[in-house]
Amino acid sequence: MSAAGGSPGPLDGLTTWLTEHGAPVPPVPPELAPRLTQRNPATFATRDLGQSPYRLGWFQAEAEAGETGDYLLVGFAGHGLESKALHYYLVHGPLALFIQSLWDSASEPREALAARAAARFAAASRLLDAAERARREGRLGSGVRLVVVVSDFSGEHWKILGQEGGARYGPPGGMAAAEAWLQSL
Amino acid sequence: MRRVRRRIDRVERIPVAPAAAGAKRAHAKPAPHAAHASDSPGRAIAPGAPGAEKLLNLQRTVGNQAVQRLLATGSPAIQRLPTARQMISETGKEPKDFIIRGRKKSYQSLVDALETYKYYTLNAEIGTNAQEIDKQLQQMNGYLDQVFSSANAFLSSKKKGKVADFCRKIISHQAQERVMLMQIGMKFSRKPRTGKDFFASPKWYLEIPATFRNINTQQASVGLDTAQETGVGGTGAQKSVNEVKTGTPGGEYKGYFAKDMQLSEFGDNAIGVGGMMEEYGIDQADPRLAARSVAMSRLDALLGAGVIARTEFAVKNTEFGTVMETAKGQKMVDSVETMDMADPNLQRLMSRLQLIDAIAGQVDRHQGNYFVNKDNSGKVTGVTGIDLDMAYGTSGFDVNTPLRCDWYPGTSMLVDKDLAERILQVTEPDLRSIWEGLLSEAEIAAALQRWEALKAHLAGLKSKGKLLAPSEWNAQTAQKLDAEKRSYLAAAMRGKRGEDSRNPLPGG
Repeated sequence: MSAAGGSPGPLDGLTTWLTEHGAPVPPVPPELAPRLTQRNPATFATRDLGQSPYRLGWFQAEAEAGETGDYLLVGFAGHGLESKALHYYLVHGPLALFIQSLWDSASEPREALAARAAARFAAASRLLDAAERARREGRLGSGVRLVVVVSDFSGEHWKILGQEGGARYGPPGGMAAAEAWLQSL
Repeated sequence: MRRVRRRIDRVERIPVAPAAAGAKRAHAKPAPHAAHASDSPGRAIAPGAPGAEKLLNLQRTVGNQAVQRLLATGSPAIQRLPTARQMISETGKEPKDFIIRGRKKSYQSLVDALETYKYYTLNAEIGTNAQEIDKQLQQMNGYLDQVFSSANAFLSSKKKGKVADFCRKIISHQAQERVMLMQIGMKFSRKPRTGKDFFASPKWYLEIPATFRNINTQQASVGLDTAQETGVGGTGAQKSVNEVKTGTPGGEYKGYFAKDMQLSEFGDNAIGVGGMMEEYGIDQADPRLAARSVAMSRLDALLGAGVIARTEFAVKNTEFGTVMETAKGQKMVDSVETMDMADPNLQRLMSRLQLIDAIAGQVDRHQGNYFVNKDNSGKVTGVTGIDLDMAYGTSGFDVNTPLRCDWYPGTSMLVDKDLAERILQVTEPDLRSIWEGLLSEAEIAAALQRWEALKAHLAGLKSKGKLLAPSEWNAQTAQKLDAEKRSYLAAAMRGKRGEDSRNPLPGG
């Protein structure tokens, strides 16, 4: 679903910009695509930023508190030798997905970093599809939110909020484990 | 960086004798010359090196004694010659406080001499060849002669009181200071810098001779990894950041060059940390990120913690920045799944990292920002923090409080004893001596406040006998750290379990 290459307008800008950086193109939900604009030289988003994407925790806390509507953000941010990343933040219905993929590194070649980001975007696309199917088929309770974090700075974890009134972590395995959980419902 | 750059520009134009205001008042007396000298059989310092014989003689006699004394007493931190600021602060005496003419004159002369010496050693870039270095050694020994003759002159007129005591303290530093200069000079004379492609820009005051560095290293617990070898950072041209080899003689090492970025360059380079700098009071108009990194490295060296990658100012292809030594091992985030969190060395060294970060106000110690090195049996031998520039802000950082949404976890009740003792013993002048010229006064003041707050916490633990010796870290302490949720180790343990490794949100 929702590959960037099939949509006109704003997605062309995102695709061109990422390609110029040697970066892969992530999935973009069609309903968010029209609102996607370049917010600064390093970021495309459907919202005002309020913070640098580098501060993943800030965006995560916002989503967990239910303080934001659906949005998409794609951007580079960071500093130093091993602290720059390509960010992909998507809040879309029951899914809040935060990918912070290392970009520029002394320890890994750029090609490896790009391949890792591409693999993550592919997994994100599958996860997005699974979440959308679960929502459409009524398998996710109302008010349930799945928060998935994949970061080269803080590791991987995912948790389910709002189910039976609480929050619980899912088993290790990142996006694949979260996708499997959605399919098991 | 504005202030630091100005100084560097000035020093580069005047490599041998910077025209300090104080220097105009100093009448340096050249040190005696010697026809030849060597630091080891068959290794010449420089043909006809002046001053070297005297210096070598010093090392053989009082110098070695000074070094031995330091080793014997277990000095907690490397100390250079006391500064005029330190003298006035400790004695409470300004020159104008003396009304007896002779005493006022000798005290003013001492203040001037100390200022001149500090200014020169802090600003003069170490020469690029043996001849330049010898000239600089002559100059500095002349300034030192002036310092000690002024101190003696004051003592001849007044033998009691705080200033007299301080004069004796200054005089007692004589041998050590001269030996330090000599060792620095020898190190750089053996293998002169090329000054062509890549070079660090070392200063006399900020260099720590190997012998004196070893004093601290000896105090550091066994297993600290201070070797200068290449770690996982490779040398392949396909890497987005290339490894470089420093031209620092005697201490040659591999590392990575980073340009000192201005905020205006962040967007164009697709980087930036946005509100993080604003929130923690890191000056956005003049971020001086290189200086912050060097200041962290020097704090680690001063305290002998051994958990921060060595970082020095450097110039590469006319661009100013830093070179950071390549860290060994793997990033925590890449090795967390197989990491033995009960490893005593891991716990102890991560405690050290947290203590250093507390003083520096380091706000970005994520798990890709430190490396863990292991030996062949899988035991942890080193922890090395990198990417040091998000530090030394002036707001938003309370030593005892976890940062919201970021990484610093507050103070733990489980702390490495060795480093805690050194943090309790180090003095404000020691800390100022490594930060002045790098940080603004407001940044230094904020760092000193953090240090005081940390000292209060550590003193409380010490009074209850709760500081942990190396043998006291074990599986139980790891469990306690995990339950406490106020340590880098606890964050890593959460990450290993597939939980959020960031600080828990309030109430979370």
